[in-house]
Amino acid sequence: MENGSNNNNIWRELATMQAQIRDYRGMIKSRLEYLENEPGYRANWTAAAVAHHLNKDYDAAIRVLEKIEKLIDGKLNESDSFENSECVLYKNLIYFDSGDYAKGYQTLLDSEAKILDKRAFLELKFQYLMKLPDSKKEASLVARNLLKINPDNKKYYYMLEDSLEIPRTDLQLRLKLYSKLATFYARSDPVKFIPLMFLNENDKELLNERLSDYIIEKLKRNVPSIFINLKPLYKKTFKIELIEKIVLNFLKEQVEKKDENSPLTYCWTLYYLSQHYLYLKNFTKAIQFVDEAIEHTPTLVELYALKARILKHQDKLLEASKVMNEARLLDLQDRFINTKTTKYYVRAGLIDEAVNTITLFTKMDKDAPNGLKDLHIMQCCWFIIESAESYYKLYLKNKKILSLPDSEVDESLKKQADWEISINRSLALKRFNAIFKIFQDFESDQFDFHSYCMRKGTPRSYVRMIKWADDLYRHPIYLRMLEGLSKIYFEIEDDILSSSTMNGDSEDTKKLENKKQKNKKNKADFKKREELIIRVNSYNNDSDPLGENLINTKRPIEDFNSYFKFSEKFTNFKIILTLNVKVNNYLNKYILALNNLHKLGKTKNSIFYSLLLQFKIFKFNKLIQENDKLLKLVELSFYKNFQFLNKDDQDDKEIIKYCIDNIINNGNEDKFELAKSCVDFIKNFQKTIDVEKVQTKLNELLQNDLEPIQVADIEYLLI
Amino acid sequence: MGITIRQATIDDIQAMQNTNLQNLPENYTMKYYMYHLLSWPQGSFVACTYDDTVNDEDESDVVKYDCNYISRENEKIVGYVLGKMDDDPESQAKNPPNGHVTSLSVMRTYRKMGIAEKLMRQCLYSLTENYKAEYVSLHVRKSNRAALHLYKDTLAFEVLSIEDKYYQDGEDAYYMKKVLVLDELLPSKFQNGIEDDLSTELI
Repeated sequence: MENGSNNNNIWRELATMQAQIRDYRGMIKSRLEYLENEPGYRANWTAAAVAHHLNKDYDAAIRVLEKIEKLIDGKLNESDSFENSECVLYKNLIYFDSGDYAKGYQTLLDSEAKILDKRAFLELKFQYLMKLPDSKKEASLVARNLLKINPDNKKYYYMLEDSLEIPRTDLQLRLKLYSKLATFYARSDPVKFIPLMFLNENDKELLNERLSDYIIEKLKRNVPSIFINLKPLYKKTFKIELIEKIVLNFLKEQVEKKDENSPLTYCWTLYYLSQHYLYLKNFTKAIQFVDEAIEHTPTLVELYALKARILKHQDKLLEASKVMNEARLLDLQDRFINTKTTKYYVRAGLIDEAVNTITLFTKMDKDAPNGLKDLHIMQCCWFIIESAESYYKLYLKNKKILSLPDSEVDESLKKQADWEISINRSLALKRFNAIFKIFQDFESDQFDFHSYCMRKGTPRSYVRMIKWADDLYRHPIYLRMLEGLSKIYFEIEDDILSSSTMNGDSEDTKKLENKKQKNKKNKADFKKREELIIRVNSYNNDSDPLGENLINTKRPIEDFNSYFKFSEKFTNFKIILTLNVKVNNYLNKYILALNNLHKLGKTKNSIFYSLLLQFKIFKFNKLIQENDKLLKLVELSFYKNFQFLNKDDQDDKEIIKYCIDNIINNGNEDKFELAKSCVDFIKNFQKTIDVEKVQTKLNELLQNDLEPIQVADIEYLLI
Repeated sequence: MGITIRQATIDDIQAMQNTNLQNLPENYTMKYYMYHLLSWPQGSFVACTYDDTVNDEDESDVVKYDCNYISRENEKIVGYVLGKMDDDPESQAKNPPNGHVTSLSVMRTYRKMGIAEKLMRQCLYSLTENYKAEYVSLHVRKSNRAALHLYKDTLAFEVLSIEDKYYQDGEDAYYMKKVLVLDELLPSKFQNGIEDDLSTELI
């Protein structure tokens, strides 16, 4: 290009590449060059504006959009009206982003006739009016207009409240508003539901009345989701009590005069109560009610599904999966209940059963034994990640079985575990890796849209897609994958480390290694292995169907990093910070690790558990052990987070014990202030620790006015 | 949790894909969802549960691992409608602008709340308003009585034809159609309420 070539397409290709790698500055040049040669297409103007916009040069973006608007004014066909509408809205969005509200608002009104998307127009108009002086009244009319278009969007109700300037605390006024709105939108859920959320103890009677209407109307119509609907209310004890009374009364009424409601209503009332008691962890009552319902109507899928859920909550995973399967058998056409059953099987470690179940709804090649390949092609994340986690759980279980003395465990069980264990772990890795591949596909899926959206005239959606893709690797599923992968890779690294300190392979590694060899050599095992491969194969022509190549890595931390590097930057997630600490610790980059540790400590409600983990890691890190100052630093940041512990959490209790032991054993340092603030907290743990002993020790320590240790440089890091 | 219905955005597509995989036998790769949302941004809608009583203090940064969860909005998808315009060049030359419902699904546990109907009403109104669709068509399994009832009785679709073995598993489909008139489709008209004249004071 630079040497005068006139192949203009290269500019377009280059711009696409630049968009994909987010080189917006470079993209501006490419888009403008292309536009200069091909100014006859609106798409090229749009593309240039988008480049400016993404580069945050709002003025330039608006200039380009306005120029093309003028050039084509009066020359548009009917078929151009959608593109025109979108581009006009896009321009206005940039105005809003740029903060020039007065100008933006005027421009929006001027272009009203060109805008087809009235919903977007009104939403933007509302946003402007809320920013401009003395315009709230008008904004409220806009919100009312939006409600006419969609009376089920809760956002519009809140917008209306804001524009009417009703304080969220003025419950009477809010109530009045929603009562009025209910006369317009009787079938809207938010209009009825929002008041249930905000009414409080002062309006108990009114709330009771409203709740009663809401619940009984839905029970009569046999709506399955009432409990899920009301769940947010269960955060307030008085609301739970009100609800319980209403439903129990309704049940009683039905028993007394059976004819009024349909028999199904009775059944759904029992269904509700069972969910209610499950929430309150009263499993006996929960089972009782659902069993009565099943006896009453043995053909209702939901009842068995609920029973299965109760069993799941009691950790009876196997039993739960069997009950869920009963539900499935009642409605074989329904994929929802098939999905539930599959999930319950996976959770119970019955992966083969799960695959066979879900396969009833997948598309298959003629000779495929099951739908696994289709599930991978269709990017069925929920199933793949559940399988990965389940394989890992099976690995842990088998590891435990193998560690038991022969006298305590059946020989055949041990033999089975011995055969499965390495496969469990490598398949877990294989499935986690499949999630990674899917996310890589999502990322490359953007590619075609860099030019497509310009032609189609959808720049508003395009810039949202860019943002979506930028945030792809902080998606919950990806984080879940990272968490799972970290367990496997860190374990491999630990094995490598411990085997190198012992000058040879560790017992475990040796065992695993031997087993792999054995599995391959033994004829019967070989056949078993071949059969397994057919069953678990997830891709066509896969050279590593069991994930053995993945697991046989010699550089597990680097491997983990190849997944983790995409997410590292999302440090507002605790899991990311935690993994950052661990990875850097393995890499002996302890300053980086400590920085992340400190950030983690600063996050709200820091998961103290992860701090403990890191603390333990650091304890074993030689570099830190040899550096007294660093060790103190680690401890200090550790204690600073004491207050974030959750007193109901079993892991946290362990930590408390650990901390207290530490205070008692090494309590001659400068953490008294912190320790003192912990005392109240400690009181909550009377059952797990000897509080008196701790308090005495603390008081003792506080009386000795010890010199603070010199930790200036360390403190610096802590700030 | 309350139910809210809104236009779908690109941030919803992973949860939409997951909902689809959980509920329906016809599945699509992500690119197809992107194609819908980036070609007809106003054609798709989602129904979500929301919980505005979430206390920022204690749950704001807990990662929700649910596949149906949209982290940005703190919402969970329980239903969606994926709508598009007819963009087959051959058919476009012959017919006026017309829409097509690619997929509609509501999780079993959220049925009987009128969610599917509301999603459809949003979709039909929006396709008409934005793309001037004169009619909309869809396919429905012959055995799917609930869906058939919704389209035929509630939304006044008519059966145009039966398509033999339309579905992969060999089932036939009804091919259905509805003529669209914008003014008649305004969703607030189906709320059994009085009309907001926009002039009475609300409080």
